[in-house]
Amino acid sequence: MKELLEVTNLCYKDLFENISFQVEQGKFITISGANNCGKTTLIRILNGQIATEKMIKLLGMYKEEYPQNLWKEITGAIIPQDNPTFFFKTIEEELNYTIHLFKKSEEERQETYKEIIKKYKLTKYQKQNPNEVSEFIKIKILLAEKLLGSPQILFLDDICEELEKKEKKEIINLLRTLQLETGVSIVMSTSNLNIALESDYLLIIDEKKILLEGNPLSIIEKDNVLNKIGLELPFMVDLSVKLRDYNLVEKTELDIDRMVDNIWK
Amino acid sequence: MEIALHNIKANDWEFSTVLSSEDIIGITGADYEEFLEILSLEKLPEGNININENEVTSENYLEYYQQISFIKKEFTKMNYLNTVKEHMDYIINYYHLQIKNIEKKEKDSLKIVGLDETLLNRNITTLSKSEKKKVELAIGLLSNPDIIILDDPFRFLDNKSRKRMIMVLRKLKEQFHKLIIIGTTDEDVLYQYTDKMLFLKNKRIFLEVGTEEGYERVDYLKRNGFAIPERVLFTYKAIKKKKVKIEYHKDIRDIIKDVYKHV
Repeated sequence: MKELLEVTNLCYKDLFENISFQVEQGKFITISGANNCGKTTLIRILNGQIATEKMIKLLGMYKEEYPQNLWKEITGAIIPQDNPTFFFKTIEEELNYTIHLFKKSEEERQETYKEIIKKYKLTKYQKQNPNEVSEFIKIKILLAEKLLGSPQILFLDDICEELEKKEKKEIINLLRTLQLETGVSIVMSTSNLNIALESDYLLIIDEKKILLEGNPLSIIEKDNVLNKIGLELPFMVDLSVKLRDYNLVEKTELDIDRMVDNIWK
Repeated sequence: MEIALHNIKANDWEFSTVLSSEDIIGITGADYEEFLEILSLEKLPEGNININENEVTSENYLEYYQQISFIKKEFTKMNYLNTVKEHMDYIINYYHLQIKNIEKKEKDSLKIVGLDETLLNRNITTLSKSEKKKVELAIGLLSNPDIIILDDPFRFLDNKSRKRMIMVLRKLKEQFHKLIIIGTTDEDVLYQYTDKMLFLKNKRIFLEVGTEEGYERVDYLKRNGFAIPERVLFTYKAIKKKKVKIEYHKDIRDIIKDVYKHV
């Protein structure tokens, strides 16, 4: 596997001190940590809103060596906190405008539009104003638009935080599908370890440094460390870890039915 | 503190209920935000409303409206205002609040919600999401409201901040008899932090019940489209599928102890 993104000794104000990590091509990385650990700032640094020098490389080249337009073409970022606004009055017009920037023939454009509506489940919303729909629909439009530019990597700032549980699941599934189909890499910050559990690799930031990193489940099982910094374990992981301490089960089980079967055979 | 609402009608909603500061009230279900808005008395709805047995009328309702703080889901920065202090000063002027030492009051209310007083002169746009959420509550407390309505107060907060927030709310209820009303779709928050629940459906109060008792009616709630906290589901399945005699608990450590006794 090739390293796509390399962050080396990232320092920023009093927020980060020599943070280093790599993102392999096609991987889905989550970054988590307590309130004010710098999750959003890290995403802003990665997407170029905050300048850094010789700390971030994409495809072997430093961020600041890219012409600005090119960096924007090969990366895509969504930061819901910045309240992204749309230019058009309907989702249909909004999407078609973005499509026409990337697709040449009329036939191709129509085909792409149909595909997007289907994949992102937007049929019902086509005629609605993108600035007036729910956060969930907005996130989907933003994702669809970013993906049209075929970016190498997406930087997402906790795009699930404002969503309901069902919606969170749909977005995660969508990200997984996009990752598989297009090979896009994803770096997403999240305060919710349930979401981190769905990713390929997890970094926990605490006290300006990377405190833990690795396979999400193996990280999330470290209940003492996570509780100490103020993160909540997903209930089923928490339950598994504690039952294991009492030798009541052998391994972590995320499914409630199977867990009940494992305890009372 | 008690608010009694009888035969309320507003925007297709119809309900009657009595909410008192004996309990932290949880509210969930479709369009719960609309229900919170009605409770906030921003507009006087049709029906009878009594606050501490005093009738709220079209003549006096603005007085009562000022005793209610409605802490919205997201902090809205006001145009032309930048710092936290400017926002707080604005509220103090707007409500003509009689405060001797304004700066002290402002710093104190930041401290109550667990924020450093140096935040007072920070620009709102430089605050993190969790800080904004806490500042919002701090501002809401300035007017010393009797009724505090919170829309999704724990969103953006990590576990530590959540625990602090619920501690503050409990204190406001127990020491100062404030009526605390929490609306959210997060069933885990509701189960763990509230005492009494209003489940809403089709613009009516579908079920008004003690929180624990309510969530233990798993089948009934599920059938009507309400989400069940995982910790309740686990116990429910153990009882139902395995006929184990364990009880429902809010704290995971109590669940573990109970499981340990019954294997």
